[in-house]
Amino acid sequence: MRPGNAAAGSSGGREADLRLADAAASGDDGARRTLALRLADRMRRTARFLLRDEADADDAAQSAMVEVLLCLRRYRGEGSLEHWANRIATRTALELVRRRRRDAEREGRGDAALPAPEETTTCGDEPEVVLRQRLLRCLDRVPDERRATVVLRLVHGMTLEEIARETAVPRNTAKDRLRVGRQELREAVREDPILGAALQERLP
Amino acid sequence: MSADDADRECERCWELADRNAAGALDATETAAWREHLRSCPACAADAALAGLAADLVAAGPSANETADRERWVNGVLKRAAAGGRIPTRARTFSAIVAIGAVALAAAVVTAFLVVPGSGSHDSRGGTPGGAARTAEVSFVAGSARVERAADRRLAELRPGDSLRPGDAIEVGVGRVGLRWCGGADLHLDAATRVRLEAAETASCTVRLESGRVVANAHGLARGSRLVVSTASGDVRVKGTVFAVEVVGADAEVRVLEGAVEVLVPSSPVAVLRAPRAMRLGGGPARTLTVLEIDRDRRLASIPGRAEEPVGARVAMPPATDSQTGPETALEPGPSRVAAIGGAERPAGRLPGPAGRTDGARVIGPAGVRGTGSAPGAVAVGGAEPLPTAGTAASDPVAPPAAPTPRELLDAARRLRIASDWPGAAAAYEELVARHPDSGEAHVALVPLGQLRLERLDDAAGALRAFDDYLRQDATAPLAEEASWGRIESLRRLGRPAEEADALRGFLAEHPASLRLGEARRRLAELGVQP
Repeated sequence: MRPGNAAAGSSGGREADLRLADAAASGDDGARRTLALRLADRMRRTARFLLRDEADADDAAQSAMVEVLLCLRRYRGEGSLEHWANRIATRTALELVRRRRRDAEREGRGDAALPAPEETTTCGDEPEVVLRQRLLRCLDRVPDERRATVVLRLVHGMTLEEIARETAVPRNTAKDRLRVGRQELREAVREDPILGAALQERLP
Repeated sequence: MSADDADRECERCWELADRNAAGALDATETAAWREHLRSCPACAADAALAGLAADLVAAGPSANETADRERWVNGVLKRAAAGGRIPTRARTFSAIVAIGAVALAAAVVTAFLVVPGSGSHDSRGGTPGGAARTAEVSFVAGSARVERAADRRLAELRPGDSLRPGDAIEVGVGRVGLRWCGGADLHLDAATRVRLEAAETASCTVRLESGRVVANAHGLARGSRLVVSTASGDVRVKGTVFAVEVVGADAEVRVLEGAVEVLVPSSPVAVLRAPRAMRLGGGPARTLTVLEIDRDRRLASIPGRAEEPVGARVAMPPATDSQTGPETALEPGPSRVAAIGGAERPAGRLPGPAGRTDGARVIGPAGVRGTGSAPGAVAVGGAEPLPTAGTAASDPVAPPAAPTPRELLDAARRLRIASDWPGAAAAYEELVARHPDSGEAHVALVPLGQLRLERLDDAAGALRAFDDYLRQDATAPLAEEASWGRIESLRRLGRPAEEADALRGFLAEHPASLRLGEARRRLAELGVQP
């Protein structure tokens, strides 16, 4: 099952989602808050996986959440609210990836000037937080466009056609980016003993 | 196994993984995929990484996230309540302003419109030496919004509205006319966003963030300067009619009448005379050999007047150094072009046929001729005269014109490029509603359906669009796309019986389609024999 669809839920869950969305769209402040609190973590993580810069990721997640709140009438209950909101977060983050790429090109900066990843976890953090941060650090070593392709594949389970459509490139370009990006990510992960050990446990 | 063999095997694995992601693997293929994962460390690592990454995204909240969530959500709710706008950091990115995000991010070109305060230019209005501090909306043909600097709220833009520095205008469909700087006219195209930035004693600044503007500076107050801001360079225009358009990361300047000065960072000033076009950005400025002016002419015309035939363009003869002037920074070589006529003239005394450019010729349909010229009209390359700056605002009887099918299609295209999916869909819908019998409206149904399906989560609306397209002509060029879109719509709507019927129809009607395999697989999933 696709990760993105995992939360699609039952029809009863979707009906509850629809009721919540309707209430929020009608201006019910409590419903808006409930909905935003429920979606916030996942949308922020989705954006952070796609964007190297935490501030950029936060901007993208905020913009996506605003769009969710302003466009709730468009939610028709065909999947879970989470899935719908994550698509918006993904699309918004990808737009920012493209924008950053153009900025870099205009300023003559290439992919070589990737910032050094920073250690952001502490001893007391939960294992998932540590692993997530380590995986993000590995992703930070993959240039933006290849990173986006890899994340869309690994995290969101998109097909090559879907990745090509989302990133607005031909299928073969998406394929090349995925091929190189996967290799770069594997190499980065190999150098991280904790992440490497976590992966070992999951190997088929 | 050689490395090449391994690569090929991995590619096969990719295909299987793709189809596994889409839930389309049968038992044999699933077994093959698992077997490959056992023998290929790279693919196995990918599979493990995918599982880990998906779990980490879906995991419960961390202590930090829990602590921060409330604050973050409060900020977002406040921003949403304000219509999506918040005081932002320099790189904060607004989802609402993202209507033109692609072009907006791409470019900030600066075009300077200069009328020297001394010399041959007469004043035709406004206070000498002083630009008007407010701009007036002379017409709105279509839909547009204004974002007031005072409260950042959006409101519908109406003819006669007064705008002040800091106000921004977003044109949805159609076009908008502004009069500023004591009488200069700015016509904004569909899907254009500008912000009025400053109105100092002698200069008015307009930031063109996306889209296209045609400016007619003949009404500019003496001594005033109109500045249009974009990213790729500066353009100074002397008492003329010109267009500036943001094109991706570049900007294109087209001089319809008169002369402009082009200022690219780190380069000397170049003089560009009508009819001439130049591309700025991505290296040295490039002159263009053919000046496409039909859309600019239409945008520069007054709504409600007869439209010029589409397709006119002006081919420019080879350049000579003397015509570009000593300050030129144009690239040497065969593509270099020189000024042809279009001399500066006193503001308010606009050229008739006798004043149009020499050496330029019109390539286009009959009827694009420079016959006659209303007082104050501008002849462009021998084509129909453009209206004057004054008539646009002073003609109270000119009704707002409905956008043409072509304009609406163009607007939808621009909005799609800018990733404004709701805006693009609205433009397609308006095209279908206003011009239901046009060829453009028929063609628009397919991208409209795709937008609804893929971007707007509106499978029912998508189905209606695809059905409408096929109902009008089931053998039209986009019939395969429409049929497949219809199948996907039915799938998302959870109507398997109709989906199966549609799939069978697809197999029969499009036997050469690349989607045959997918259609057969889907039929098998539905338990139906092809």
